[in-house]
Amino acid sequence: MTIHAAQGREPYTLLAEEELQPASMAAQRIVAQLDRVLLGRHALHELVVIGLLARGHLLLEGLPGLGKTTLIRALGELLQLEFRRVQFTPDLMPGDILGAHILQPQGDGRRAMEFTPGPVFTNILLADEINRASPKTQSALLEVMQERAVTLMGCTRALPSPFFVLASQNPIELEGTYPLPEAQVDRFLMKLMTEDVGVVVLERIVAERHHGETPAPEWRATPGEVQGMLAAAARIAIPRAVARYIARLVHATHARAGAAELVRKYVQYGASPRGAIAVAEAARARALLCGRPAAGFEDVRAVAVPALQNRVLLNYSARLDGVTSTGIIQELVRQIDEAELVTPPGVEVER
Amino acid sequence: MHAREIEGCAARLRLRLWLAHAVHWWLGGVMMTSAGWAASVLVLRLGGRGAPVWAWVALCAGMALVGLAAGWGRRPGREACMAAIERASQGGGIVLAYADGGGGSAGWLARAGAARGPRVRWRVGRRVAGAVAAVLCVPAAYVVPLPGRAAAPASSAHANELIAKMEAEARVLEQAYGGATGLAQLVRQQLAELAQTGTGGVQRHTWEALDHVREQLDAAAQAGARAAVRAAEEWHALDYALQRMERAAQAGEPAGSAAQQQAREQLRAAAAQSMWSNELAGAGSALAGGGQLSAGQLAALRGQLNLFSNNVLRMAGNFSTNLLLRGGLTNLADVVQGRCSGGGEKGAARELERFLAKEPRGFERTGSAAGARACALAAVRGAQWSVSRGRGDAPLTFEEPSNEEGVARQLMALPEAQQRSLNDVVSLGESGHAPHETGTGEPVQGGALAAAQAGAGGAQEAGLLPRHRACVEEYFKE
Repeated sequence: MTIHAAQGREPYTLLAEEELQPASMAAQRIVAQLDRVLLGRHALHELVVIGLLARGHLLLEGLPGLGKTTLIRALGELLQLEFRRVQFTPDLMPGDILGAHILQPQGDGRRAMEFTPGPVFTNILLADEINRASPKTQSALLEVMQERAVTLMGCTRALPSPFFVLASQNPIELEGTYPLPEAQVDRFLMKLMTEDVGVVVLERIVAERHHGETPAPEWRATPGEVQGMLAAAARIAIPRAVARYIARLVHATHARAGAAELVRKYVQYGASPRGAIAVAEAARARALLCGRPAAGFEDVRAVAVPALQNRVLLNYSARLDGVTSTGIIQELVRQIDEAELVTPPGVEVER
Repeated sequence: MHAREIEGCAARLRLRLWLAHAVHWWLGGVMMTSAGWAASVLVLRLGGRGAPVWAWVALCAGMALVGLAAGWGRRPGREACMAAIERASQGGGIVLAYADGGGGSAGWLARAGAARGPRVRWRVGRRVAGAVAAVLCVPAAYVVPLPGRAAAPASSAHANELIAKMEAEARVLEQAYGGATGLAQLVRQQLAELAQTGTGGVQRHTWEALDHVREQLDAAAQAGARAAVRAAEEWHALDYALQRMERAAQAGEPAGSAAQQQAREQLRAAAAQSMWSNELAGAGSALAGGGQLSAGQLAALRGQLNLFSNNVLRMAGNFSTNLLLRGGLTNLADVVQGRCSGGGEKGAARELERFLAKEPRGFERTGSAAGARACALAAVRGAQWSVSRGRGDAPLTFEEPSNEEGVARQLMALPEAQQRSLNDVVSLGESGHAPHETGTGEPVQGGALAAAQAGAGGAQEAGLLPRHRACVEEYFKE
């Protein structure tokens, strides 16, 4: 039912409740199953599911032993998608990931070059400790992540759909590692920080998990349900006011005249337009997860930090003063008015 | 139903924010207007002029219109209000989708309709305090005593006393000119206008009022003089006729005798021309009827004649009063117009004070309360008469054009001794020092260039002048 058309805009129809409800329920069940597998990580699980619904790649950063690999493995099992894991090492070559042409004997006795697909030809690729590979190998993932295709010997091969790269990296072991190039960091939809858990959760882990074995999931999503979730997420509406809020938020990360004091002092490069797209897509996915047909301001606020923190580059002053991009984005979210209301001094509109 | 609720919610929020902007601008306008008005009032009062309060009130009211217009331009748009509603109600983007024209099932619309409008909170800020302070400055500017008005209270007390006397004089005028009450009212009205315009500070109006009052008094004085002369003549005629009749009656002459008849005719003619008294008119009618006047009638006629003579005397007194009044006004105008010493200059106020300190008593001695009234008005004005810029209706005079207008200038060659040819100028170099004029015959040199020539070491050696000492010391201190 179309209500009315605002001035200068075409009317559109929101996703119906009967279409939205199954997808939303499936997404929430995935989160619930992840919570069951990995204890005390509900917020992280929500963000991981949001990343998947937004068809984005995720970069998980955290200390060893916090369950990054376990989380991604459980996700692949829940979605019943093809899952492959690649341990990135310094001697890993691009051909080891993408695949290679190998000379093979044919039936007629002749020999011909045959393409042997690499591990990227899957639905979920776990790039474990991605920063241990050389820049050459890391760069091999650029086309894979952006185009979802592999080009070798002049032949471009599309990857299966859906395709997600879930990468992990260790922030403390810097010996023999190669920091990810900015172009590749920018291709990750979100950078998720895997942080330590509390005593209560640790107690439950110790008591309930023998040898660290995780329980098997009680429910698994069918391919149809996964496709339904992805299709529903694509139909979540982004109102103009929300889009403008995202644009203003991303624009505020640039250290130009008129920017916030914190940004002008510590930010070297702000977020790219791809960052704005990432925030919008993540907001859509979160709206779906929450069972709403349109993304709101709270969705943007919830995903702004993980979607932008890997896209805001700080200068050396920030390192010396201990300022992080997370703190800067949180401050921008706090400062920027969503409604863009200009009120006279002494007059406040309830938030 | 729900759509109307959302639209109404946004419209109310928009209206509230419009009013908030309008009030904000209005307070700012009131603050600036009041502060400026207070300063203007002080300046005007120092200059001897007044400023009506209603103009300030009108300005503040006008600022409200300006505030409404400014707030209208700054009020948020519909989408912004929808966003505020969305933010306050945590609507999850549904309200915004509705605002964009999105449609959907009734459930979404019902959820959007449940959104509530955000509250607008007002806090008394610095602008309100500033506006209140500025508004309070205005009455303070009206009541703050000025240094030039220190002597005003004494003059005002004296002036009130004189004004009361003037009111009594006006009543006397009304009684005296029984047939010319309108004239007395006119004089009173003109004097009131004189007082109003004199305190209003519009000097041109004051001059016009003074002139008008003087003209009216001139006319009244002339009319009074004519009436007094005529009444005196009538009184003399009646008195003579009555004396003759009384003498004839005392001599025992019969009523029809020639002397008695002549006296009666004379009295009848005088009474017929005089209409000053009804009784006298009745006597005249009786005489015209040819009746014989008894002794009682003659005594009554004598009494009426005495009253008539009293009126004539009062009329003559008022005539002289008018003359004195006119004289007082003339003197006052002379002083104000700067005809006395110091008029129109800075010391005019002091001269006027001395004049007023001396003259009001003189007017009172002459019995001219109107003159005292005029002086009282001047005393009320006090130092406002400090600077006289002349009459507003004074004619403009144009004098002959300047002699230098259109005069052709003639080129004149400088003497040889003051000429310097460019060929004589020799470039010796550049210097960072300020140029200075050399004396005649002195070689051109200056600053570092001069030091370079004087020293044998080369151009790197620069002489240190005494004025550089402080800079050098500062350098070595650091």
